[in-house]
Amino acid sequence: VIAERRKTCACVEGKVPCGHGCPKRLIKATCSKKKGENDMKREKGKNPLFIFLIGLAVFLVAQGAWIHGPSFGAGEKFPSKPIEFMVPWNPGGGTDISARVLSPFLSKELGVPVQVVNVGGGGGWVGWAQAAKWTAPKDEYKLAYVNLPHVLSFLDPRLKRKETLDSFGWLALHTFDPCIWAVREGDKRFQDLKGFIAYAQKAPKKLIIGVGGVGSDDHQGVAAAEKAIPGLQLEKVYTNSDMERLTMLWGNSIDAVGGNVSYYTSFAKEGKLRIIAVLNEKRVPQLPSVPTFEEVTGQKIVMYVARLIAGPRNLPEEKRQIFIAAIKKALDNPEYKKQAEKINDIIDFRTGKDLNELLAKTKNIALQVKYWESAK
Amino acid sequence: VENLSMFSYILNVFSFYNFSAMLGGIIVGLVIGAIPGLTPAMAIALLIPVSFHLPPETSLIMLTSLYAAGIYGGSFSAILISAPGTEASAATAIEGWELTIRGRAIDALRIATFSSCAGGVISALALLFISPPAAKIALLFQPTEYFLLAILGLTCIASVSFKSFFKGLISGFVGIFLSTIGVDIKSAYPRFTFDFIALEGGIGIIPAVIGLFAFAQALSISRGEADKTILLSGEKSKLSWNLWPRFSEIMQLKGTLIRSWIIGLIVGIIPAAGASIAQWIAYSEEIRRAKPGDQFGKGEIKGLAACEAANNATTGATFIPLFILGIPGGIAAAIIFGALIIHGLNPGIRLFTETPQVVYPVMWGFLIANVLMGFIAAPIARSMAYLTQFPRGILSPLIIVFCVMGVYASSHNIYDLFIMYAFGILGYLMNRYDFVPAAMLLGLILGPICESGFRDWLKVSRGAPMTYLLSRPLSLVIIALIFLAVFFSFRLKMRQKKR
Repeated sequence: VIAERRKTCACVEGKVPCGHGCPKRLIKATCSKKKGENDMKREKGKNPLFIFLIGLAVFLVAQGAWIHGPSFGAGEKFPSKPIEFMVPWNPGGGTDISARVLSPFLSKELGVPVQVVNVGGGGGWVGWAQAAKWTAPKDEYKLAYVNLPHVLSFLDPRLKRKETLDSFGWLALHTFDPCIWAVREGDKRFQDLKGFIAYAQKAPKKLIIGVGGVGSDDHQGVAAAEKAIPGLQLEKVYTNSDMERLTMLWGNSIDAVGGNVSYYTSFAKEGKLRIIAVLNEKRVPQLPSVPTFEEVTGQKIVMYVARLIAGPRNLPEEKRQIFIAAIKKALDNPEYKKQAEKINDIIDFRTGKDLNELLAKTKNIALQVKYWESAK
Repeated sequence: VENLSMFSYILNVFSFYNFSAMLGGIIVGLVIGAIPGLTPAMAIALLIPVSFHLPPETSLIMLTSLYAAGIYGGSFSAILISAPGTEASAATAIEGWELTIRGRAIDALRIATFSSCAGGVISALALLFISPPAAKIALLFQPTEYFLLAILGLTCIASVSFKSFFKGLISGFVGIFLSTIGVDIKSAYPRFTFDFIALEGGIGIIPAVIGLFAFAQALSISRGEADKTILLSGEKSKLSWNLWPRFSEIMQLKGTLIRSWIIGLIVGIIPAAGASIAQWIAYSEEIRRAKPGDQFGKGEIKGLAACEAANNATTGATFIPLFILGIPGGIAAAIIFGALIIHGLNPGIRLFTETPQVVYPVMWGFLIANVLMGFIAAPIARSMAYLTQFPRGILSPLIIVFCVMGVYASSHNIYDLFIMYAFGILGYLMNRYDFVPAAMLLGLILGPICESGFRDWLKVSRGAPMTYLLSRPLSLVIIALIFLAVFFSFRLKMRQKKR
C-alpha cells in the first residue's frame, strides 16, 4: 500500500525520493511542501544528531558511574564482592599475562571473583596515576599491578609528576626477574664478561648494547655498570621490545643485549645466544653456570624488573593482611607454581620489611644512576 | 621422509577437540574482528588462560584460526559502514565503502571473502613449505631497512590522495607530527605532552583509526536525511545471495590478486611491519597501475581485492619467523609466542623435529581454517549487509555506540575515547575539505618506524651512515623501489591532469 501511495506523492521523482525529508506515509493530498521547506524544520525526534547525542550522554554517564562508582555495602566479611585487578598495560604483554594467570588463584583464596582490568597508556602512568589516588573505603576492592623500576620514572624531573612511593598501598612482591647481558653465540671477539669489558675499554663507544627504553631496568643496569667500571663506555640502542633487539643482535647490527632471566634463558638453552653475566647478588638457579657481574668485576651491580601488587594507600591493616595472606597462599599453590613456571615468571613473595627494603633499594639505584641526566 | 610424514598430520586437525577449537576460534575471530576497536590480538590475549587447559595443538589451532578470521572479519564493517574493525582493514574501508554506497556491498563482500580466504590459504602453504629459507628474510631487516621501508610506505600517500596531492601531503605530515607525541623511549623525554598524562603514551593507532574512519563516517552519515539509507540513491537496494565469486570475476582480478598476495607474504615475514602496512603497499601498487576507466577512490573492485588479499596473506607469513627464529612478526604473533612458551614449546627448527605432532596439525589447521572461514563468514556477512538498509538516523548513532564501546574495551583508558572523538571530528572536517585521512593514518603508523629506524641507523653504522647504507644490498633494493614508486606516482598524476 505504501508503495502505491509513494508513487502518487508529489515529492517523489520517479522511484527516488525527493530529498525534502518528507515522512514516507505522506501522499499527494497531504504533502504540500515545497523544496527545502522540510529541511528547515525537521521534527526533533527525527534528527539523528539529537538521537545519538542522547545515546552518547547516557553511555558516558553509565561509563562514569561504572568507573568512579562508590563501593556500596562493605559488610562485615571482607572481601564480599568482586575485586578489580588493574594492569596498567594493554592486553597481551608479559605483565598482563602474569596477572591473568594469577587472578583465578587469587580469586580462589579470596572467595570472590578477581577481574583483570587493563588500563593502558602513558608507559603505565595512566593506570598508576589512578591507583595513586585510590583511598579506602571507596577503593578497597581495587588492586593494582606496579612494575619496578618503571614506576620510579616519577623521579625524572622532566615529567613533573607528583606521585611518590608513598602514593601506593604496597601489599606484596609477586615476581622478581634479574637482568642479564648476552652476546651472540659464536662471537669470536669475546668469550665472557671479562673479554667483553676489556674489548669495550679498548674501543670506547664502539660496542653497541641493545636495551629497552631510557630508564628501563636494562638501561639502568648498563648505566650503573658504566659508572662503576672505569673506561667502560657502551653505545646504547633503545628498543621497544626484547624481540626488536634480538633481531638486531642476530642481524649483526649490535654486539650485545640487556634483558631478563625469564625471557632470555630459553634462547640461551637453544644455543642462540650466550649469556655472559647476571646482574644479581648471587647466581640464579635458571642459569647456574653464568657468573654474577660482581664475581667477574668485583663491582656489585644489581638490577632487575619486579612486579608488585598494591592497593589504596590507606587500606585498614586487617584488610591489608587479608590481601597479603591470600596472595601468599595463591603463590604457594602448586598448580599456580606450575603455570607460572610455564610462562617463565620467577615467583618471589616478599612483604612488609623485605618489600620496603626492595623499594628503597631500587629507588636508591635510580637516584644514583640518574638516567634522565645521561639521556640528554 | 620428512615431507611425507608432514601430510600424515592433516587428519589430526579433524579430531573432535581440534575441529571444535577451530570453529570456535573462527566464530569468535569474525565477531571480534568485525567490531571496531576489538582486535584479534586482544582476543588472543584474553584466551591465553584458557589455553592452559587445552592440549598445545588444540589451543594453538584455536588462537591461529581466531587471528586469521579476525583479520578477515575486520573487512565486514570496513566495507559496510566504513568502520574498519581492525587497523589492518583501514585501506579496505576506502574502496569498500565507495562500493557500498553505490549499491555493490554484496559484490564487495564476495570479492573480499575470496581474496582473504585464498590469501590466507597461500600464506598457510608458504608457512608449511618454505618456512626455513623464508625466515632468513626477517633477519635481513635491520634499522636501515626499516627506515627505508617506512619511506616506501609513505610514498603510498601520493596514491591515496585522489583529489589533491598537496592536501594529501599536508595530511601525511600532520600524521607524522602527531606520531611524535608522547614520551620518547630513546630519551625518556615527554614530547608535546603539555604535562597531560593522556598524551604520554602517545596517540594510539586504534583510537586514531576508529576516529578517522568510523566516527568521522558516522558524523558524515548524520548529515543526510534521517530516514534514508546510506546509498547514493537513498533507496533500499536489493541484496543478492551471490556470495561466491564467479570464475570470470576472479580471472579479471588475477593480476591484482597475485601481486597483492606476494606483497602480503613478503611484508608479513618482516617483523613489526605486518598486515597494516601490507594492505597500503598493495593498494597503492594497484593505483599506480591504474588503467583508463578504473575508478580508484570511487569504488574500484581491484583496490578492494588488493587490500584484502594483502592483509590476509600476511597472517601465515607472520608465523614464519615466529616458528623458525622465535621472532614474532606482530602483536598477535607475539602473544601466540607466549602461548607456545606456556606449552613448553621453544620456537626454532626443533619445533619441527621434536614436536611435529604439535606444529604440523597447527599449520594444517591454519590452512583449513582459512578455507572454512569463508563458508562460515559468507552468511554472517550477508546478514550484516542489512546494515546498508538501515536509515541514516539509526545507523549513525549505532556506529558511534560501537566505536565508543570498542575503543574503551580495548584499553579501558578513558583518554583514548577523547583521542577518538578528536580524530573523528578531524576526520570529518578533512573529508569535507578534501584532505586525506588515509594519508594521516599512514603518517601515524609509519612515523615512529621511520624515526626509530633513522636514529638506530646512525648508531649501528658506527659513525659512517652512508658507507654503511651502500654496503647493504637490501637497502639499495628498497631505495630503487622508492624511486620507482615516486616515478610511477608522478606519471599517473601527470596523465590524470592531461585527461
